[in-house]
Amino acid sequence: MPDPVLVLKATAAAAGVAAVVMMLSAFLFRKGHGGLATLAEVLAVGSGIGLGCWWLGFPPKVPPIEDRDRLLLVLLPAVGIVEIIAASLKHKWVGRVLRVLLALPIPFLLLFGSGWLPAAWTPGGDPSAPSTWTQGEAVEILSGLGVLLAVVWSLSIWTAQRPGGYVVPTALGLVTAAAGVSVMLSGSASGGLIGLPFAGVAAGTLLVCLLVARTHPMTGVVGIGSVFLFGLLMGGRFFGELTNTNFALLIAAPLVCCAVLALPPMQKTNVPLRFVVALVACLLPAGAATCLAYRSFAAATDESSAYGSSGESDAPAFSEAPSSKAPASLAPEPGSPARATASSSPRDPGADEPSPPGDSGIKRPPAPVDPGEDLKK
Amino acid sequence: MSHHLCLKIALAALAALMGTASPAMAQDYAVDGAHAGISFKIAHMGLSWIQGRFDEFSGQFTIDAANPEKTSFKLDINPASIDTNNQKRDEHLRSPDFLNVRQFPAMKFKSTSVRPINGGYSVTGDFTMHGVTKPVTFELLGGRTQEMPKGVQRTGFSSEFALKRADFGVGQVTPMLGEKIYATVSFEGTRK
Repeated sequence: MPDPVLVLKATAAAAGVAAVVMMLSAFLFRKGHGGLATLAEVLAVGSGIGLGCWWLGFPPKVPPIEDRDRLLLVLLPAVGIVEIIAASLKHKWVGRVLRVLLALPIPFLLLFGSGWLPAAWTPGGDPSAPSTWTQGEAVEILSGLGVLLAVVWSLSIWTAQRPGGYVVPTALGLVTAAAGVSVMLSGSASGGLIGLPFAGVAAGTLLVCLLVARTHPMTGVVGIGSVFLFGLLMGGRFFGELTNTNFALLIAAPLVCCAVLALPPMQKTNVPLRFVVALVACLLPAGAATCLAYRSFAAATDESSAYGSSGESDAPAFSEAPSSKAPASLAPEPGSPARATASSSPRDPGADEPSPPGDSGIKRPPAPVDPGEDLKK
Repeated sequence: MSHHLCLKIALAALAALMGTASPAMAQDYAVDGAHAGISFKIAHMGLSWIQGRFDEFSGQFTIDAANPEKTSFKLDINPASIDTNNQKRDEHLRSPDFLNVRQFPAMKFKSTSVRPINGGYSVTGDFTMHGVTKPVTFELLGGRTQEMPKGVQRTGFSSEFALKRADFGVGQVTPMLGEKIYATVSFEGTRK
């Protein structure tokens, strides 16, 4: 697992740079132009996530061949542009349509080129290669996921624009952190790790928004956060071992937040109480998912080994201790010619490391590469 | 009638000549999975070697003794078949932290140039792993032929070489692993 101190530093750095960029862009808020304010948010979120990923040692790679790279380099910038356009236009329906139009193909773009999709869907792919889904299944599943993202994204934006809506970016930051930890515990440390800087970004931007703009809906942060959470969960579910239950709990968490805020009794309460109730309500499914992921992780791991005891091995258990003397045919022969090539591996694994623990002093000739040489003897 | 007989004799002689001449022509082989293996080892914290293998692979190669530049090798490996004798570790190796087998369901090698050397070939080709294609060069030793079972011509090659995992973006999250993957490839092919 990654170093917790490093993760905390990266999250703090992401929060700091996002807050600084927001502060530097503060003059844009005063002009009251929604598009410019959203632009400032998008720049703050982008710089925060970028710095956090770099700090963690996972900057996105070019070309973007993995889902994580496509999410960071292609999809999130596209979401940012959509939110800037939506905030700039007087007609709100344009923004709603753009969100749906972008949300629908995002699941396909995240799974592009993977073994889930029919190979015929990948340019240059082998049409005869086996895939997990048939074309019909792929269309159904990707459509369903696209609609799910459109609902989460649209509802989050709608709720964020209502009074007390700043609970939405707060909830998205915390749920994304929970999703990151859950994905890390589900066999994809590198996939989940990038979720944590967004928690810092959400905190940094929210702080500046509350101090400087006070009533700003933060649609830039909410839009990017919704898609970021979805992308993180898609990576964990389809490339890691995140369970369907945990996927559902984590993607439902921001919807719970929106639903609680929309309840009629909540409209009569004051804003701080609404904030607390909505936040607690959304953290319940997110916390449950993290606990379930941790239980599965802990059950598969023991204290002495990162991968469980030898009892979980595929190998049959030995009924008796194997002989320490290797069969003559397998033992390295002192007289066999050593084929010294640059590719032959060192016998001491420490010799492969930057700081070797020391030469064992035992020198034995490697086995011949060509089995024909062994036959001649 | 005698004309037909002469024609048959002539055709038989031509066929025999072609059969005699065939070793000088390109010979196509399919990798015999029962007599082949792809194994590897990587240092763990500088303390021990973690060893593993890929259980599922296929390949074809063409040997042209007369025109060595027409000799070629092609190998397809299923990265999901990785086996290090520990189920949990294998699952982790299949995950996005290492091979990301659901995103990159194929590992491939295809030769681009083959040069004869003493005892085999020096092979250069494109190796694709984890979605990254890099040129690699290694010595492929062997090439003797045997007939087993009767009527089935086979030949075999072996090689050991090292790859830097960082070149292919594998295992960025685990610095305790060695920088190099030491691979051993040995295979027999049966003539098509």
